[in-house]
Amino acid sequence: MPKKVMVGLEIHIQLGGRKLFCNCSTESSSETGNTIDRKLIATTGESGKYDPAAVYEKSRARSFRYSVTDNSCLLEADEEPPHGINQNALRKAVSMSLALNCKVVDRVAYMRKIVIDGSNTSGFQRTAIIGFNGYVETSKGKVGISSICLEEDSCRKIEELDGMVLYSLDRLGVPLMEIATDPDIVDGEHAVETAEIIGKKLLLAGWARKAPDAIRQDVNFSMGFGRVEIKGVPKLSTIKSAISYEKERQTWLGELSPALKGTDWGRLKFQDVTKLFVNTRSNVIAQNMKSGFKVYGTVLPGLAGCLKSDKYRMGRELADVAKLFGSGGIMHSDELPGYGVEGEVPKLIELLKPGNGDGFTIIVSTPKVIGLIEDSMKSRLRKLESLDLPETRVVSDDGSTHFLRPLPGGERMYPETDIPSIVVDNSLLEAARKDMPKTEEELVRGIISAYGISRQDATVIITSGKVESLRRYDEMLQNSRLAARLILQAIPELEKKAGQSISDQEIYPLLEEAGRRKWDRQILEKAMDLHFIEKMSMGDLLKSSHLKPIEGEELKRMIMELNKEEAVSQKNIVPMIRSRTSRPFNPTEAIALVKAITG
Amino acid sequence: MNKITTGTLLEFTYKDTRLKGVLVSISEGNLNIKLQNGYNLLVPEKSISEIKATESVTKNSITEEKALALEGGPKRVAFIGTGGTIASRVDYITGAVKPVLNPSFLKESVSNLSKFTLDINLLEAVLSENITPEDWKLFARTTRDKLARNHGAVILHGTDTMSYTASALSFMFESLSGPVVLIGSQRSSDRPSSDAFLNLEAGLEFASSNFGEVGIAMHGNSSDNSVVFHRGVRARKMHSSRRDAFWSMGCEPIGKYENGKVALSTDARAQSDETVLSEKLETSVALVYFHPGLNAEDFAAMTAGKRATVIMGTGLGHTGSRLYPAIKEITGRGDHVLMTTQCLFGGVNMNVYSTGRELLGIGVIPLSNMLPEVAMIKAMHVLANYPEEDFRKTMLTNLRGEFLDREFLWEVH
Repeated sequence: MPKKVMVGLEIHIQLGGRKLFCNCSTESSSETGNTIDRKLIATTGESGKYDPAAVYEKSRARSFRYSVTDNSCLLEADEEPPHGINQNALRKAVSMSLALNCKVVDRVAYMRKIVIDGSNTSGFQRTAIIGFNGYVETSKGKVGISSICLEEDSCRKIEELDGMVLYSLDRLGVPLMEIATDPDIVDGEHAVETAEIIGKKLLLAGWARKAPDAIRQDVNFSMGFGRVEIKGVPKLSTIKSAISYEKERQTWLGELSPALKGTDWGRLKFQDVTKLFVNTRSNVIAQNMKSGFKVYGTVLPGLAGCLKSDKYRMGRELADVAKLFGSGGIMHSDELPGYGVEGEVPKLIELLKPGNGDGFTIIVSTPKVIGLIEDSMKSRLRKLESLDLPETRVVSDDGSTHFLRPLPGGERMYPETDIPSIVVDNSLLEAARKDMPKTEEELVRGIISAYGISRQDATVIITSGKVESLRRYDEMLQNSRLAARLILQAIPELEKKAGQSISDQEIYPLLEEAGRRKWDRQILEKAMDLHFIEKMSMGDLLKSSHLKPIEGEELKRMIMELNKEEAVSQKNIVPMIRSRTSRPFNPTEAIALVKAITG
Repeated sequence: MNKITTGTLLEFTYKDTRLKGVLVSISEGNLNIKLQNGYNLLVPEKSISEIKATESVTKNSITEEKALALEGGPKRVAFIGTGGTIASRVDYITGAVKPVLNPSFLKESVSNLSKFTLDINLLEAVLSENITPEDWKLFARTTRDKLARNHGAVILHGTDTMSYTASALSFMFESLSGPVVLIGSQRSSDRPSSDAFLNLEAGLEFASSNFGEVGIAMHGNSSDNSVVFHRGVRARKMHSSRRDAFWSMGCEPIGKYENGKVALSTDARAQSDETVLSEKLETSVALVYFHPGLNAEDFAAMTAGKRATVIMGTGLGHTGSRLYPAIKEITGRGDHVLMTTQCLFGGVNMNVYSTGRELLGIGVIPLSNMLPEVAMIKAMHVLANYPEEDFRKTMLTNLRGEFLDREFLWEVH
C-alpha cells in the first residue's frame, strides 16, 4: 500500500561575479578557444566502495570533449589545484543560511562528490555544507531546510555525439548555492508555494546571475517506494506536473508489481532481426538502417498489455533505458502494427515466439551497445518488479519524468584535501548578517529614499530583480529617474522592437557615454535606437549627426519655418518637429520658443 | 571523548540539532564526522553534547595489497614503485596520502594491463622531494636486478624530482637490455580524472618496446589521448601542475603512444645484450644559480670543498666579474667549474662576449646546450667513474644524448 506523498525541494542558484575557486568571471563571451579530450575512471570513495551512479556511468564508457572559454583557466581544465574560496560567495551563503533560520557550521569542510558523467573535468564536484536545520513558514506549516551548500556548478552540456559528450567550460566553477528542504512538502501546490517563498528571498537579495538558467530546481519525491530525485525542473509550473506524473507512475507500478513477481527476465534476449526489415515501410527504421544501424528484437516476458494501456506504461520505462544508449526508443507489441511496421509483425512473432502473456519489442541500435541495453533493461525490470524505485530522473517540458541514472549514495563523497577547512568566525558572521536579504518592504523603502522614485516603480524594480541594474545605471547616468525609466519603459520597449533581450553588459557602454556627455533622455533613447535597432556601431554613433540636439537658434529657425506651413501652437509643436527631424530636441524649450514667437 | 574510536557511529547534538554520523578523525579539538548524506562535518569537540556511541562500523581504511606479481599476458615488465602521486591514494581515516598499490583497482583502471605480466617490487615510498643520490643507487640496483628477468621496467615516481632520477639512471646505466620508463602523475589516482591511468598504460607499452634508454613517459598535452617518452637527459618539469608538465628541452620526444600504438624515433638508442650499471657517484658537486645579487662571499660558501661547480649563468654563459677571483680559486686548486645557461633553451657560447672569453681564460668549462641539472648529475657520475685527467674530455663527450647536435627553429611553447 503506497504511503503518503513526501516531497522535498533542492533549489540551485548561481551567484554572479567570480567563480568559486578561481578568479574567472561567471560570465563569458561566446567565443571559444581550443578543446581538450578527457576520460574519467570510476574510483572508490572513502569507504573503498564504488558509487552505484559511477558504476553505471562507467558501463557507458563515454569520452568527453571540453570547449575552452574565456572565463575558464587551468582550474576548470583540471590542470591546477583550487585557489582560495570566493569570500563574497561564502558570505552570501552564510547570509542565506541566516535568512532561512539555519544553524551555520563552525568550519566549512569541502568535499569531493564523485560525478563521472563528464560534467566536471575533475570527475568530482566540490561542495560543502554552510548551514543546516533551518525552516521557512508556509501556509501549510513549517518546511524544514535540511541544508544549504555552496558548490561548484558543472559544465554546460552542448551536445552528445556517438560515445562522446561535448561540454563547455563556461559554467564550470560558478558558485552554486543549493538549498535543500526536508520532505515536509505535502503536494504539488505546496511545493510551488515553498519554491516561491525561497525564490523570492533570493530574488530580493539580487545575488543570482542574470541568466535564464540561473535558478534550477530538483524535486525529491517519495511515496513509500524510496526516494526519486527529479532533476532540472526549470519552471515552477513544471514542479506540479512532475509531482503528479510521478505519483501516477508509482501508483500503477505499485499495482502492477505483484503480477510481475517471479517473471524470468532472463528470457529478455535481443537478437538481430534486421533481415525482416529489408523492405520496411517504416521511414525511421529504413533511415537508421541506411546509417548502419541494425534492428534487434526480443520477447518481453509477461509484459503483454502492460507496455501501453489505459493504466500501465512499461514501454516508457524500457524506452528510457534505450535512449540512454543512443537509441531513439523502442517499438513494442502494444503499439504494433504501427509506425509503418506492418507486414513484419507476423514474421517477428514467428521468429521471437512470444508465449502466452508475453510482449515483444524491437529497437534500432548497434552491436556495440545492444548487450548493454539488454543488461540494463533486465536490471531495470527486476528493480521495478520489486518496487525498488530510488533513482535519478529527469523531467521533460510536459512534466513527464524519465530514468536518468541510479541514485548516487554517500559513497560518492570524500574530503577535498586541496582546500583547508575554513573557519566561520565572528567577523564573517557579522558581515553576513549585514548582507542578509531584506524583506520586500525594507527594500522598497530603501530604494525610494536612495533614488527618489515612486513606490510603484520601486516595487516593480525589486520584484523583477533589477535593483543592481538600477544602481549601476544611476551610477553611470547620475540621474536616478532616467535610470528607473530605462528599466521600466525604455529598455522593455526597445527589446520588443528588437525582438530580443538586451543585457546590461550590452547597454553599459552606451550609458557610460551618456553619463560622460550628459545626454538627456531624448538623446539617450535616440542613441539606443540607433545602436540596437539600426545596428550602428558605437564609433559611428558618437559621430552621428542624429544625436546632435536641435536647440537655440537652430530650433527657433525650424519653428519659424514650420509656422509658415501651418500655424504652430504650444500643443502641436512637438509632433510637428518630430515629423520633420529625427534629431533630439527638448520639448520644453520648443514650447517656450513657440510661446515667445506667437506672443 | 578520547574513548570513542574512529569508525564509531555517533549520535550527538550540535547547535540544537540531533545528528548521526561516523567519526572519521579527531584533530586539534575538532571531530571530523561523516554524516549519512556523505558530507563531512568538522565539529569543535566542546560544542557538541549528548554523545551516544551506537555501534562500530566496519573500518574501510585503504588496505595495501602487496602483490609480488600480477599474472597476465606474455610481455614481462618490471613494476617498481618508489612513491609519488601515481602510486598514492588518500587515506580518509588520517587524511594522509598513502602509497597504495591495489592490483584489482589497477586491473579495472588500466585498460591494457592484461597484456602484461608484472614483476612487482614496491620500494619504501618516498616523496620525490626527499629523494637523494643514495635513492638513485637503490632504484638503479633494483632496476638492474629486475631487467635480468623482464623485458623492460616501469618505475613509478613522484614528478617533482623525476627528471633528476631519469638523468641519474641514464648516466649510471652504461648499457641497457631494455627500456626503463619513469612514470608519474600530476593528478592522484583517487581522482576519476587522474592522468595516472593513461600514463601507466603507455608506460607499459613503452617498457615492452625494443629500445634501451631511460626516460619519462607522461601526457603529451592536456588531453587524454597521447603520452610521450622524453629522453632522461633532456627531460624537465616545466609546469607545476599541468598533465603535460614534462618537456623534451630543445628537441622532440623520442617516443609517442597514441591510439594503442607506440611510435619510436629512429634516434632511440638500441637495447644491448646486457645491462651494465656503474652506480658510483661523487656527490660533492654544487649547482649555483647566478643572479645580480649573488656576491663573491656567498658564491665561495656554496662552492667550498666541492669537486665540481655547475653554474647556471646568464644568457650565453656569463657571471659578474666579481666572481672571477672565487672561480679562479676553485680551478686553481684543481676542482672544476662548468658553465650552463639559466635560459634552459639554447646553449652557452663563451666566445661571443668578452665576459665569456675571460671566464674561459680562468678555466671554466662551457657545456653547450646541456641542461644545468643534467650537467650536475653527469659531473657526479664522471668524477666517480672516470680518471681525473679525463674529466674535461668526458664532460664534453655526448654520452647519453645530453648534448643536442643541432637545434631546430621550432616553435617554443
